[in-house]
Amino acid sequence: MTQLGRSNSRGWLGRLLGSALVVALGATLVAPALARAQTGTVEGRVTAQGGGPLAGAQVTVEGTSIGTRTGDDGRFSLLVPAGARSIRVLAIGYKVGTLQVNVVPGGTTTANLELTRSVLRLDEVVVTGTAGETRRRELGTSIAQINLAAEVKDPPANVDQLLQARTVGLDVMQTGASAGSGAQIRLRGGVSVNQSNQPIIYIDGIRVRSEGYRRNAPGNADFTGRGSNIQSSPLNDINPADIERIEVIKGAAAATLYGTEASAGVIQIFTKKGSRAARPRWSLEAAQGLAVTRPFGPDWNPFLNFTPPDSMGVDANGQLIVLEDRKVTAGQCHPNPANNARCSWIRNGWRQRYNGSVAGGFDAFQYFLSGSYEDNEGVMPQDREKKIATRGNFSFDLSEKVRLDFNTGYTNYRIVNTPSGNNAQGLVLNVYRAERNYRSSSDPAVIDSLLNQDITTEIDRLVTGGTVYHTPAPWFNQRFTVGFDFAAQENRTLRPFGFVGAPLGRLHDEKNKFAILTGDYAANADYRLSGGLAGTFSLGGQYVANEDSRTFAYGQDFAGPGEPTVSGAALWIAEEDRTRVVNAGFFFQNIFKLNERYFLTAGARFDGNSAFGESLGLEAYPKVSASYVTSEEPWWPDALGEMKVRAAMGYAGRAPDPFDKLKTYSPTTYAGSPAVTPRNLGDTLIGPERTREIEVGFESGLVNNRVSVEFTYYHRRTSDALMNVRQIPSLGGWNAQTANVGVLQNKGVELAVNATVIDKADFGLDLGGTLYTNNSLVVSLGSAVPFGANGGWVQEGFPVVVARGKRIKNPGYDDYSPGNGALVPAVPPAVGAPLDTACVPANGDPCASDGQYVFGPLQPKRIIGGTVTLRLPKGISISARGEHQSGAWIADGASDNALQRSVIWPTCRRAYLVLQSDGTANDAAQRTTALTPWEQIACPGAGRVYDSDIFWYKQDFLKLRDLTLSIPVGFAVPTAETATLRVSVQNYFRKLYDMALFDPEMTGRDSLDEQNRSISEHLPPPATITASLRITF
Amino acid sequence: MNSIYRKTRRPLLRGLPHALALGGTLAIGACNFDVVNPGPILNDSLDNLTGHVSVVNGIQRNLADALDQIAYWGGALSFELNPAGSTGSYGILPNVQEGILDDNDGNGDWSNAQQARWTAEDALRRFARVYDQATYDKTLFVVQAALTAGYANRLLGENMCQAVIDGGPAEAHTVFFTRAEGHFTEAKRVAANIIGDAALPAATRNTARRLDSAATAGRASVRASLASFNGNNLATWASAAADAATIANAFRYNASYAITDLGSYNFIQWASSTAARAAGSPYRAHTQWGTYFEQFGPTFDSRVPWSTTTLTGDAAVARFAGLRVPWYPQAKYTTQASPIALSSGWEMRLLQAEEALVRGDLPAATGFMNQRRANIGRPNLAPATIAEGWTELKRERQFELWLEARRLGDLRRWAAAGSPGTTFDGLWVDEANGLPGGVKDNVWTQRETMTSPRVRSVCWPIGRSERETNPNIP
Repeated sequence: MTQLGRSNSRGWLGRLLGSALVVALGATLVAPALARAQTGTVEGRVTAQGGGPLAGAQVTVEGTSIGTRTGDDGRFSLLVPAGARSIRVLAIGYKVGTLQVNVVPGGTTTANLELTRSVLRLDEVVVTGTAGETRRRELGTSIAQINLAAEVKDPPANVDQLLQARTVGLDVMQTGASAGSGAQIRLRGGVSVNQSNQPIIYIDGIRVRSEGYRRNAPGNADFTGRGSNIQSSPLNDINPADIERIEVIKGAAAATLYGTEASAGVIQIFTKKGSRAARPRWSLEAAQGLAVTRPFGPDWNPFLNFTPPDSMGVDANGQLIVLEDRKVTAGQCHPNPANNARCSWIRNGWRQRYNGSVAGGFDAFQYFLSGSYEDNEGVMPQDREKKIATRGNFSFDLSEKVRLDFNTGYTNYRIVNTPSGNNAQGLVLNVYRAERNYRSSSDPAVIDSLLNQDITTEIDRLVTGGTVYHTPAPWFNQRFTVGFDFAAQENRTLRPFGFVGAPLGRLHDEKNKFAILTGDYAANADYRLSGGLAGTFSLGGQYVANEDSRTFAYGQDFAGPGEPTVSGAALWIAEEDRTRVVNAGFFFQNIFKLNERYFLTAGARFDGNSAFGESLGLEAYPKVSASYVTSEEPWWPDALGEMKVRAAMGYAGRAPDPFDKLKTYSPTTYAGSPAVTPRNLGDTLIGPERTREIEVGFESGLVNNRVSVEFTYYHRRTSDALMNVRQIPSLGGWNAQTANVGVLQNKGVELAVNATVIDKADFGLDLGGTLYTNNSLVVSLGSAVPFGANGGWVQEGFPVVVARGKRIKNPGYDDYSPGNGALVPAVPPAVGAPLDTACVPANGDPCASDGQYVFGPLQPKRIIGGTVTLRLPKGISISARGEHQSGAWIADGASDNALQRSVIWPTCRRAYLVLQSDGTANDAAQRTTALTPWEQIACPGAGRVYDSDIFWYKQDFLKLRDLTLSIPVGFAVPTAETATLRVSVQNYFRKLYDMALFDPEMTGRDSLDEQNRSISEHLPPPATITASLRITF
Repeated sequence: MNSIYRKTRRPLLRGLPHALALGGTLAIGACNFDVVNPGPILNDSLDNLTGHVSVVNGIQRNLADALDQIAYWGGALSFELNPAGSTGSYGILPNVQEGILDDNDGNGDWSNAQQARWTAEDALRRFARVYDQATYDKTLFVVQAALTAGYANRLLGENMCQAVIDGGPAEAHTVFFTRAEGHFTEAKRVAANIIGDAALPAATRNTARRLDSAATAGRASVRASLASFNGNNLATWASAAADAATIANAFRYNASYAITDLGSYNFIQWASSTAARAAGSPYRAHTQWGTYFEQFGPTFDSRVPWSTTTLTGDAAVARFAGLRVPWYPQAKYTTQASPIALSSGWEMRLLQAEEALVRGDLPAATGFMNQRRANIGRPNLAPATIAEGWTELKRERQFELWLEARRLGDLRRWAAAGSPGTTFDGLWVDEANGLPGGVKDNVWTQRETMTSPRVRSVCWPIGRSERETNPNIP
C-alpha cells in the first residue's frame, strides 16, 4: 500500500535544526549592533505592603520586551536603554505596580516598589486558551496558573508530583511504584469513554506528546505482560526546575481555540527565560532523598510477603505461623535487603538530583541555560531511573519590533525495571502468591531467579522550536511558532540464556519514534471604537502533524550464554506499526472591552483532521464568554474588596483514531501464509466527539484582600461521543466500531478559598482549601448497547464508566478495616448467611443491563484539598498540601487473581482460622455455616463457587501530598545571594477508608489513558523524602 | 460505506462569517489530510484476485482460533483434562474448572466460532460477487471457503447449545449441522469440477482431491450428528457411512497453528506440556491427574499420550479444596505449532463402526474399531453384546478424538439418541480421600461424573455479546 502521507522524521528534524541554526547565527550577528545603544542599570527591591520581599515578581520596562524576575530577596537588576522609562512590576497576589524612572547612560537608578495585595491578579497575563497574551480580567473562564518562581520554590523531581493537589479540578493520580511510572491526569474528570482523557500539553507554545510512552513489553510474539507493565509519562521528561509557570485550562470552554483534541483540557508549560540583569544569575541545587514503601497489608504481613519472614500461614490449630518453606536462611536473602535488617525485596531507594542553571543576557540577547542529572533507585531490587536534561532558551531582539525566542530542551531518560505487574515471570506476582506462585516456591532464592532479566527503557527526547514575535504597530502584533517534539524510545527486555523461565533465552527490542511538528500563527489587532469601548480582534491557524512509528524485533532460543542480539536467535519475529495524523485549523476571536470592566469574547475554531471520515469536512467549534470586574464599578463598596464575575460557553473536540473511518481487515498469518481477519467496519462520516462546556463563576477578594474566593460551576456535554458500538457476533465478529453515537455529561463545582490569616514581616500563616465535585452521566448511548470500557461499564443513566459487579448484600463482605492491624472484620460478620447478590431494581438497587450491581463511578466525585503555609522568623517556612478524594471505586485485581488461584491471602485469614478450627482443613460443609458470604465466594477451599466480580472497593483516601520545611542558610554560604535548605516529605501520610490491601493509586498496564484505577500485581507508589540545598548567586 | 450511526451531520460552516471561513479553509486546504496509514487491509482491496489467498487463509485462521480454545475448555468441561491452576492467561476460569460455563465466560468462544462461520460464508459471498459463474465453479478458493464454512458450522453445532445465524433469532443447534452439510456438499461440487477438468494443472487437481476428501469426511461427521439428533435415523446414518467409507485410513485434515505469534499457538500445548515449559511457558494449567486416562498410565494408548512429572500445577485449584494438583501434562500436542485434527480416516472408521452398531451389526462395528487398534498396536476388542460394542465405541472415540473439540458433541448426540453403552468421563482418583496428595489406595474411584455432584455444561450458551447486541435474541 502506498503511504501517501508519511514523511521522514529525520528530515523534519534536520530541516528544523538547520533553520534554527541559521536564525540563531543571524541573530547573534545582529545582536552586538543592537547592543551598542547606551544603557543604564535599574536596580531595586520589590516588597509587599507591610511585608517582606517578594520573590519571583515580574519586572518589565513598559513599551519594551525588557524584563526579569526578582530573586528570593526581592531584588532585581536590569540593563535598560537610557531615558525616561516606566518600570512595571507584577507579582502573584498583588496589584500591578509602576514607577517612573530616568535611566542615565552608564549610571544606576534605584527603583524600589511596594505592592499592595490583590488576590485576583486581574492584570496578570495568561496565554493559554487565547490568541495572544490576555489579562485575567478579560477572561470569562477559569484558568489556573502555577507560578513556580513565586509559589513552588523547590519543585519536586517530576512534573507529576509538582501538579499533585496543586489546583482545584486537576486530579493527578500516581500509578505504581515501578521506576518511570507516569501519572494519570484528569481535568474535571473524564471527558471521553473511548478516546484519551489526558490533557494535551504545550511547552513554550509547541504541541508535545501527551500520551504515555509505549509500555516495554514483547509484542504478539510473547505474552504482552512479560515486562514491568508500567507506562512512562512524557511530562516527566521535563525538568521541573526549568519551568517558570504552568497554565492549566480544564475544559472546552477555555480550550476552544485549540479545537480538536482539546476537550480534555490543556496544560501549557512555560520554561524560564534569560533576563537583562546586570549580571548572570546562577542557580545550583543538590537534592538527596529516599523512596520509601508504606505498608499496604495487615500488620503481620505489611508488605504482602515482600519481607519473607512476615509471610503468612496458619497451623492446624488456627494459629498464625511463619510457613516453614518461607523461612529465610543466610545466603537466601536478596542482596539488597531493606535497611540491612531483614531479607526483603523492598528497599529504600536512594534518590539524588543535581540542577544547575544560569540566566542572563544583555540588550538584545538573553539566555537561560540549564542542566540536571538525576539518579533514582526504585523501591524494588532492579528499579532505577537516570535522567539527564539540558535546556537552552534564547531570546533575540532582532529589532524593536521583532523578537525571536528559540527554546530547546533535550532529555535522556533511562529506566531499569524489575519484572512486575500481571506477569507470570515477574517478581511481584510470584512474591505475592508465595508458595502457590509460578515457581511453586516462596523460597527467596527461587524467586530471586526471576530477577535474572534485564528490562531497560531509554528515551531520548528533543523539544525544540522558536517563536517570532512581531509588533509592527502598537495596536497590532503577531507571532509565528514552529516546533518539533521528537522522542526516540527503545524498549529492550532480555531473559538471557539460562533464564529459569526460558532456558534458551528471549530478547525483544522495540524502537519507537514519536514526532510532532507544530506550526502556529496568531495575530492580534487592538482597536478603539469610542469612549471606553475597545476591542481586540485575533485570528490565526495551527498545523499539527503527529507521527508515531514502531519497529520491533523479537528473538528466542540463543546458541549460548552471553550478550545476545535478536539476530543471534533461532527464531526471529518482527513487527511494525506506523500512524500519522494531521490536524489543522484556523480561528478568529474578538474581545469587546468596555471601560476595562466589561469584556465580551466571541470566536470560533475550524478544524480538519486526517482521521475524520472522508465525507465529513471541517468541524466548527464556537465560543463565547464574558467577564465583569464589578469591583471596579464606582458604586462598589471598598469593604467588599475585589470581585469579578464570569461566564463562558465553548466547544472543543477529540478526534477518532486513524483507522476508525475505514472498513479494514487485519493482516495476519495462517500456516505461514498471509491471511486477513475482520477488524473494523468503518464509518465514512466519523468525526470528533464534541464537548460543549458552560462555566459560570466569580472571583472575589475579601477582608481587605486577605481572603480570595474562586468559584466555578461547570457543565460539560459531550455529543457525538465516540463509543465502541459492539457488533453482533453472528454477523462477523467485527471489532466494536468507534462511532459518534453517545451523549455524556459532566457537571460540578470548583471552589477555592485562600486566606492570609497572619501577615507580619517575619511571621505569617496562609491557609487554603479547595472543593471539587464531579457528577457524570451517560445521557444517551444512541445506537450502542451498554458495553465494557476501561475496566468499567458504560450504560445510560449511570455515571460515565462505572464499577459494575456483584454486591453481596449481607454484612460482612468487606468489613475489613485497614486500620485494624489484625485484619479481622471490625463488625462481626454475618456468618453462615445465605449468599445474596441479587440486584433488584424494584428495591432501588442500581442495576446494570446484565443484572449486575452498579457501585459507582471510576473517577472521584469529590476532591477536597487543603494547604497550609507557616512563615516563621528568619525566613523559615513550613508548608503542607493534601487532598481527600472520594466517590470512586477501584477493582482489586491482584486479590482476585490470587484468590481465584486459591492463593493463601490475608483477607481470608479469618476464613482459614474458622475452617481449620476443628482440625479439618477445607471442610466444605463448614463453608456455608461458618463463613461470611464474601468468604464463601473468595476464600480457597472445598465447595467454593468463585466470582471475580466481588472485588470492588471504595478508593476513598486522604493523602498529605507534600510537607516541606524550608530554612534559609545564607549565613553558611556568605558569597551566595540566597541559600535555602529544604526538607520535603511527599505522600508519606495517608488514610484509606475501605481498602484492606494496597493503595488506591495503582493501575494495570497501559494506565495513563485508562478511566479506571485497578490494582494489578504492582507495589503501591512510594513516599519520598528529600533534602535539598539550593544556592543562587 | 456511509455512516450507519449518524444520520445527519452539521452543515459545514454553520453560517459563520464566510469571508474568514473561506480564507481559513483555503489555508488549511493546503494541508494534506489525505493521510494513508499502513497496516490494515482495506476491505475493497480484497475483491482483487490477488487478495483471495489471504481471504481463504484468514477464514482458516479464524476457524483454527475458535477451535483452539473450544478444544481446550471443552476438554475441561468433559474431563479430557483437569485444571491444574492458572485461571487467567492460558488457564481455565474457576467456574469452568467446576464444569459451569455461562454466557459471559463462554462469550469469547461463541464470538470466535461465529466469526469463523461468518467469514467463511462471507468469503463465498465475496467470491460469488467477483467471479463469474464459470470461474466460481472451478476455483479452489471457493472449495476452501465452503470447506471451512462447513467445519465452522460443525464446530458450532457440536459445541453450541443453540444456533444463531447472521443476527437472526435463536434456533436449534442442529441448524449448524444442516448448514455444514450444505457447505460440504458445495465444496465437493466445485472440487469435482476442478478434478474433472484435465486442462487444469495437476497440482490444482490434487489439491482439489484432498479438499474433496476433507469435505466428504466433514459431511460424514455432520450427517452422523444429524442422524443422532434424529433418533439415530438409519437413512442419514447410511449416508454418513457412505461418505466415511470413501476416506482412506491415513487421511487427516487439520487446523494449523504456528510458533510465530502467541495468538496462533496451540493453546492446549502452551498451557501445559513439558515442551512448552522448556520453551519458556510459565503455565502448568492443566493435568491428566484425575482424568479417566491417568489410571492407565502415560503410554497406555498412543492416541492419549501424557507424561508424569514431580511438579504440581501452576497454582492451587479451588475445586480440589484449594490444593496443588500433580502435573501430568498432555503430550499429544508437542509444539506450539501442533495441528488439531478436523477430520481423519480413523475417525471415519469409527463412524462406520457406529453406523454398524445402529444397524445392530456388532461384528462389522468391531471390525472397524479393531482396524485402528491394530494400527497402533493395541489388542483387538471383542464386545459380546451391542451394549458392550457401544461402550467400546464410545471409549474408542474418546481416545481417538481426544482434545479435538469433539467430545461434548459426542456426549450430546449420544444422549439425544439414547445410545446404549457407558462413557467414562469424570474425575477418577486413587487417593483414598479423593484429594491430590492424599493416601493412594490403588483403587480407582470415579469421584465425579458429568452429572454428579453437579450437572456440568455440555455446550456453550449463546454468548452474552450476542444477547446484548442482537435484537432478535430476547
